[in-house]
Amino acid sequence: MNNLKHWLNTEELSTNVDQEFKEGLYRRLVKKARPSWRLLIPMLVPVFALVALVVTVSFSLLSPLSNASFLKRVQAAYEETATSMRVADLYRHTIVIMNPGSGETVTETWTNIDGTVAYVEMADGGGVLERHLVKDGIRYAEAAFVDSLDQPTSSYYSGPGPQYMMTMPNNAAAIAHLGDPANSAVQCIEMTWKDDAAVAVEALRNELSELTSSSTALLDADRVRKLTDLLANPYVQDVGEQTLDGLGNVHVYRLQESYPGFDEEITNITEYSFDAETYMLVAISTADQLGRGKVSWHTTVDEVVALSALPGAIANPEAHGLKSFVPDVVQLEHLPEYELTEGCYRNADGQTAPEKLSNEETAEVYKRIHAAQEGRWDEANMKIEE
Amino acid sequence: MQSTSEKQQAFLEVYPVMFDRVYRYVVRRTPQVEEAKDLVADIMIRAFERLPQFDAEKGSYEQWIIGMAKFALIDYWRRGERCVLIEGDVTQEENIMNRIDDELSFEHRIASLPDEHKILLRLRYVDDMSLLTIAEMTHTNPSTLRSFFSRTHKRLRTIIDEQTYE
Repeated sequence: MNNLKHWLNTEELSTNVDQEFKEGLYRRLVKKARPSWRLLIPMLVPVFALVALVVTVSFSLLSPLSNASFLKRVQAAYEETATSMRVADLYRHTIVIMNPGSGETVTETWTNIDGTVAYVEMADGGGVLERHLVKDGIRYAEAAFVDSLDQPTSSYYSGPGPQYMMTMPNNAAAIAHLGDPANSAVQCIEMTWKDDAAVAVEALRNELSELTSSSTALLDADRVRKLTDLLANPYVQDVGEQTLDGLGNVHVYRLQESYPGFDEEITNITEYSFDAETYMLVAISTADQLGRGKVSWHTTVDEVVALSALPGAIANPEAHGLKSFVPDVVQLEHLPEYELTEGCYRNADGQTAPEKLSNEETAEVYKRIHAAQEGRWDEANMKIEE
Repeated sequence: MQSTSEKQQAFLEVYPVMFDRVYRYVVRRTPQVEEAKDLVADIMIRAFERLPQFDAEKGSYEQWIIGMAKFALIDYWRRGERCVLIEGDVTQEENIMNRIDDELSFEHRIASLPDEHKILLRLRYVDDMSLLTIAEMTHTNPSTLRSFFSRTHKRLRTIIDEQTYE
């Protein structure tokens, strides 16, 4: 096949280039080129002065929302005494952190569930995070997280209602999607991870690594007892060690499909923990036979014990008094401080270049996303197509 | 460390050569030239806008932009409902092969294949993509694709062997 390869490459080189197209594109790029900084200096002096003034004045007011504050909060979390919620909190932070350019996504899946309303995120091994908003089994709004290398999956395009795509700055795939007239309804939210986000990711990884490798008993006697009870549950199957994206080698437990309370349509249930000796982190995802209504969440060993004790809790946790069971921290609480600084992009029919939203408009997008997350559909201004 | 404007200047200087490379790379992997042009324009503009992220120590502009083109092409195939038709072309392909047998050179034989088949050959043998990846990208049944490559491979092997002995 070497001959073929060589020939194909040769043939490729012989392809005629459309010179008119080539020159036209060149002119477009020249227009986009920045003028030399030296020419701009006289114009920038007053701008710098104004920016310095604004920064000085606003620093004291906005410091709690600054990019650095998230890192500080993460660092503060490390310094706290080890508790079960500590790891859960870290995971909730890692949910939306991606390491720019690495092609890796730190975490896997979570949800916020409110009755029949679920808000689902999934990440595949390639680092793509999808978000599905589901009500009564009907997916009606979606967003896809993409990092700097990965592409949104095809399911991103399905489903009625507003669609959002959260992406890294200047993400080629995102811009391409926005430039496609078929995606004119898509609003792109550009995340502006700074270097400190990458630092935070590394710190989180180190933290998780320590936790998973540590033989120090983070579990008190009560938790050990609960864990023992859990493992004694006849519906819990010990799958053994598995390698999970973002978690490394973990000990996996699977809740059997015959577990009482599961809807008969639910066909896929996975549950895993890492290092049962020290801490248990659980994610459960379910899907009916049509692949609709995927639900998942992270929880702690205590919650799994509660789950195992309450048939039907998975299908409808609130009906079983498990509201506290559902993580209520997963509201992307740190996102706005990153995103609002840069605004969103929006796309209109036929536009090839996305137009940037104002910060106010970005805030409105976020307001709607959060409202939808919490099931406040009217505020989210999202129509559900039954 | 180059500033963005310096990178832009350097980018524009190598544009004539780089454009040709990207254009040919993309055109030979898409069924329609106009679609290929749209892709090329997207790739070049995106690359230009992302120049602040370009690191010359990690490679040349050409390497960088071909990498972007590769992702753009994969995305192009995946996100559209584009597919390649193989089964219906088998007879045509065999007829072409038979007709040109003993008449044309190896290059011409390949050149006479349907464009879609050439695209598949490029993906497989130039881009070294796996059958499964190509099947996923082009919305083609893997077994159909496997059969196609099996037939084509045998045929090409014969041609290459014949050439070797000649």
